[in-house]
Amino acid sequence: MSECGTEPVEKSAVPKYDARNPLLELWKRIKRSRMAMAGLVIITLVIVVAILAPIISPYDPYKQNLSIRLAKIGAPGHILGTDEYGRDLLSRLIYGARISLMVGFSSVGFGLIFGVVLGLSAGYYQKLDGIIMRIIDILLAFPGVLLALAIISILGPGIINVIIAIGIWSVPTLARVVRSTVLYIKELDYVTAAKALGETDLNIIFREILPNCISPIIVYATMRLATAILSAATLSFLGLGAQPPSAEWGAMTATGRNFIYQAPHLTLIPGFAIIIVVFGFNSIGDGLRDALDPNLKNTM
Amino acid sequence: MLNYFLKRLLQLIPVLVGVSIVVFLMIYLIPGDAAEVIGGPTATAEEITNIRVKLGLDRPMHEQYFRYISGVLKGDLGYSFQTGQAVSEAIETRYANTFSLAIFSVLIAAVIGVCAGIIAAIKQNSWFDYLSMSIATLGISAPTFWIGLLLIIVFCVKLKVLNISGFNGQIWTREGFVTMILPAATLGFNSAAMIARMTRSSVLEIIHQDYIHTARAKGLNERIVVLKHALKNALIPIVTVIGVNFGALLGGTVVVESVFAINGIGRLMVQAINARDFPMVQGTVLVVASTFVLINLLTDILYAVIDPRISYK
Repeated sequence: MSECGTEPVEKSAVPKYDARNPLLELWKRIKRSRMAMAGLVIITLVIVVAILAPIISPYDPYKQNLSIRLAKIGAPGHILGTDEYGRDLLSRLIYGARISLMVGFSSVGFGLIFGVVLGLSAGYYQKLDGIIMRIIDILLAFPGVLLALAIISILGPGIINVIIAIGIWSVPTLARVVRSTVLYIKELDYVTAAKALGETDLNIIFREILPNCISPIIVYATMRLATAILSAATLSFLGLGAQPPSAEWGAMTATGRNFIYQAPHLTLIPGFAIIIVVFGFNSIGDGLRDALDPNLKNTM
Repeated sequence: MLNYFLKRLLQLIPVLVGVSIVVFLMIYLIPGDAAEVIGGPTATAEEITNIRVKLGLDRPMHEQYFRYISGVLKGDLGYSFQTGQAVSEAIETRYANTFSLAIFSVLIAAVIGVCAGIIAAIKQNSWFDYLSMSIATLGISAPTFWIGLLLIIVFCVKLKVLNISGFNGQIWTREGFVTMILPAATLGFNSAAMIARMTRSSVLEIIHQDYIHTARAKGLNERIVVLKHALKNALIPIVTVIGVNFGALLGGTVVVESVFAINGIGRLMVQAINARDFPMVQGTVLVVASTFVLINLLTDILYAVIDPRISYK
């Protein structure tokens, strides 16, 4: 994290880091990365679609019309066809964007709150470091979506429980990132200076250290959004998340699977929607990471 | 080197104990009265008391944990609520299926990923680089279940070259091998994408270093430069990402087994979660997590073999 320091970066291609305003700095760097900009455009569009869902969606996503069930792509009045109850697929996709974004943002937000607090404590207080990191090691011993599955088995299926499960599952990764950044920053001269001035620990943590952890936090949180949305869709696909008739994309894929011979588009199209959103967040994350610190490339 | 192995082996113990505690606590973390939740709304008071006694919820927690862990060490994971079958027995019959699926996938992913990554790196900015990295970026973004369904639609429904039949558990037979191709490709797709990207960036970083320039300057064959000089040093992050992915693959088997109707631990776990069959859920979670921890150990030991510098740190 060479850019986090107070020393100006020498390379001419990299603009000088403005430590006073990390968010402005981040924006400057996003603008320079074509990949991040592409992702940002995609995600902005998806957010707009999700907000305007009631206005732009051609039909009610839950209104059944059995006379036109399983209509193919390009059917009159239904561009993407209809599902097994004659519900308009496009309208359901549009409403599904709301669910996916909501699940993604709230679970990552949940994970961030705990991850940042744990990471800051572990990084700053050496005494807490051992305990917190051991707990994190244990949580990381559950591969992939397994930890989320275990939590779902405790809380029971449902979309709110999926948010909690994925939120908890995000904590260890985020905490580790914050901790390693804190470990680096707390050795820097300006933190030593703040300590010498007699500032309180809380002041040092929240006013001196946290603002300089913002960039890696945003990079990881963005990538985590992609993982969260993907995993939530997976849990719903397995029948453990959003339940039918919800217009959740993973659940739609699962029900579409029963019509794989007559109407394969019912399974394939919701998957496309997931890919677009996940690709968007991944691109922003990748682009940001490369722009902020190329050295991080091999550590993720 | 031996010291390093022993140290790593010792570090394993607290993690495994921690995992067993988390798995054990799952039942205590159920909101409300666990026995009532498991029994469901129709359970009578007697049934609920029964469940409570069966799970040992009527006794102190630490006593319960020691009973649980001594059972686990003897291979006793309790009995399924649904079928009454021993959990260890149910897992045993399915473990090979899940494990062969994961191994087969990681092999496919590693071979495709490493090859594509190396070619993309040495032919940086070529059409192959752009094409393979675009596919890789999409591969990372695509849900596993979707890739599985896409492959089923293409190969089974449209082209009709493969059957969607469940895996028979015998990968060494022709039939077993053929039925395993689609599930393994599905499971390995994301990992292949990640391995390809990591290999590319890792090789790219190495290939611009001075010793590579020196190797080229002294007139070495390009193949030797890439395979002998560059790849050796690029291997560490690649092995890391393969190791990490093998773990993720174990988690991913849950999805692939459900899509392809393979009788593995993952499918067993999902069925158990839906049925609120807690001993089964605990057993499957414990076994998969322990396998993952052991694989991580193997990956770490492999690093030390590839790069002896690691064990001296």
